[in-house]
Amino acid sequence: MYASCTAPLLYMLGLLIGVTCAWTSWRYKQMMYLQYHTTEKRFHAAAERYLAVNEEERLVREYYPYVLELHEQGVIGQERRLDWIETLQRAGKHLGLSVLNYRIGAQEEYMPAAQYQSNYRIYYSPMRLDLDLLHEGELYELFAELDGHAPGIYTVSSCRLSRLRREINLAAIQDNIRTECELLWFSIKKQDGGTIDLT
Amino acid sequence: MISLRTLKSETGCRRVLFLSMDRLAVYHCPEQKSVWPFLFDTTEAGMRHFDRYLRETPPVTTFLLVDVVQEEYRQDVIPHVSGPDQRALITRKRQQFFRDTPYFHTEIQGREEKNRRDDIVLFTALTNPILVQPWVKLLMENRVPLAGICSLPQLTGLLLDHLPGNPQQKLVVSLQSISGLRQTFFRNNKLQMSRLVDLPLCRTAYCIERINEEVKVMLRYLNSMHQLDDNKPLAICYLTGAPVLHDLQISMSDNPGFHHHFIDVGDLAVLLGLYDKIATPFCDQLLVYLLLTRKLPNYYASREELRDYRRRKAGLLMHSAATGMICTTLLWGAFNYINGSAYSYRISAAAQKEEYFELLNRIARKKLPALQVAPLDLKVLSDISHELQQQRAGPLEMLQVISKVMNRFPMVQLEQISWSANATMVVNDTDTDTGARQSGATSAVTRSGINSAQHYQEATLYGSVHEFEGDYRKVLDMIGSFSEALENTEQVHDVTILDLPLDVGPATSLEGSSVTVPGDARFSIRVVMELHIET
Repeated sequence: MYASCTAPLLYMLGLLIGVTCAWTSWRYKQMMYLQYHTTEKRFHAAAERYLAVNEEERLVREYYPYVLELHEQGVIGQERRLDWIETLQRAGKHLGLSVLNYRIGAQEEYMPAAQYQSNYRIYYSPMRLDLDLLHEGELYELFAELDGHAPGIYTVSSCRLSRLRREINLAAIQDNIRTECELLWFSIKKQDGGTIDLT
Repeated sequence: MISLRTLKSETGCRRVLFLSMDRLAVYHCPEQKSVWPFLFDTTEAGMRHFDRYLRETPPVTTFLLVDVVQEEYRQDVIPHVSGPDQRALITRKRQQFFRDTPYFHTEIQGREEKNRRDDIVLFTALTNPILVQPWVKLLMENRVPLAGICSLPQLTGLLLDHLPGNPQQKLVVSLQSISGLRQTFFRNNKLQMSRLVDLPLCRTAYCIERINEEVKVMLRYLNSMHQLDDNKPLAICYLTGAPVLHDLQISMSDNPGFHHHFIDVGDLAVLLGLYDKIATPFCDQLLVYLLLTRKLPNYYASREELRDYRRRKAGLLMHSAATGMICTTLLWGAFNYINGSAYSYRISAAAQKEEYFELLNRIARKKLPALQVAPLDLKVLSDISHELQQQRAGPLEMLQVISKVMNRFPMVQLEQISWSANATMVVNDTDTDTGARQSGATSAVTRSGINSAQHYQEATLYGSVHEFEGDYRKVLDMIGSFSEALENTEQVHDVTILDLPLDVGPATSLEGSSVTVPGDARFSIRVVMELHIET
């Protein structure tokens, strides 16, 4: 009886106890292990956030004023088209230009050759200027006016200067040069195209 | 009958039943001490007592040692085969020699040196199974595990290494308390035959005389069976108590063919590990001790008779396995639990550290202004705007360069200047005109061999030479000088003449009139300059 009944029962019991014990303890250890790693990651993240505070403080101190200035200029946030127009009108009057036509196109995304790997995208508004000049020096002055008073960052992408008459009129009564220029006014937006608001 | 209730029921305990013709001696757990046996007669009463004994004692592992006259030895040869063929031959020999007994054993003792080199086989059998079967039946009825059955001559073979004398021919003479005088002949330490003679307890002198007589009978028998080799000495080992040995030594006559060796069974027992010295002249306790302490093969018991023993072994094995498994898994579980607890401790430590750093973080961040943009993004925005500033371009530099050169060539008049900037810029523009212009600038720069990775500006000048009177050579020289003057300017990278008033190249057809009409000699030139980036 001992050999035929007790031993198999003991064997099965041992197997059952062993497997249960092993499985339970393994599960417990595994659970603790995973929980430990999760907590450890959170701890490291908290430590890194704390250690980054000084660096963030430096970044704010160093860059925030300039970024605010960019925001004021409309490079970040809403572009200042009205200011551009007013600047052009003032420049036209100041230079005594007989013809100064402008056309500002819809904003589009700018694709520079070197892509920026960031959370932001660059957009541009094309501005076409048609104006008659006495001489090319007035074009210089016009751009100087824009540089000085129009808020934003722009670049001249193309210009065409054509002589209006064969002989140059030196009497400053009639314009000599017809100029057609295209400017790109840049602005920076969020990745989703939303405006960056710093107010 | 004896009271056996005090016997221990240890699982490691063994029991040896020593069966002779008329008695059964039970030796129980000597534990390296000589013990006295319980004796049962081979009568019905003795069997009833033995049955009661078995019922009242724990079913410990039991070995049956048989020392009876009805054991036969037959030596024969069979062809040297193995496996089923060998088994078939042995079965046939068994049918031939010992038809009526289940207690049969074969031992292959070597091979012949001549002829086919057949196997030499010793066939042994207990020819009267009725002597053994009732006892075995009682054991089986009481579920006593029977580990095996062997005979005393087979067991005597285990002592040969400890006995002196030539191993080529050896006759072992021993005395057993319940069976008598046993003479076993070995050749090259292999059992050949054995003979049992009843030797009732008697006075020593009579015993000595009987022993001498029976040894002589045995020697005559061996001679008659041609078992003895006259060219080799025969070692006769007397295995008994010291007094008997002393008397035997005195009574022995010298014979050059025989070497007599007298071994005190008590001394031999001590040599083999038995603590107590055997005080009797009998070998029973020594042989039983060997059975109890060594792993011995079964010679005669059938599989059915060994059933309980095999079950016991299997049960013990399973018990050990279960115990081992429980211990191992408990240990492993404990190891896992300790590891888990260690992790648990680390979790609480890490959580405390996390909480501490979060607190520090909150305190430190109070100093920072509340921003809509992450501090790292401030730098990114700043860098992007710097990059845009650097990419700013304008036509004024190009116009200044052209003006300077123009001052040196008053006859040259420009009708139109088409300027574009930034060869690397690609604008995703729906305005195909602008896009085409910019891509055209890029390709032009690339054609002129300038590194397109830098920023360049390009201007196409459309002009004419004033007051042209038909002197093409002079005009062409002037335009060439104008182009060269542009090219010699420091900022200019490349100048290409696109159109001339008169193309004198071999690839074009040319026609005209000797009568020249005054007018303008028109030309166009493309100028490429590096774009000076504002910093």
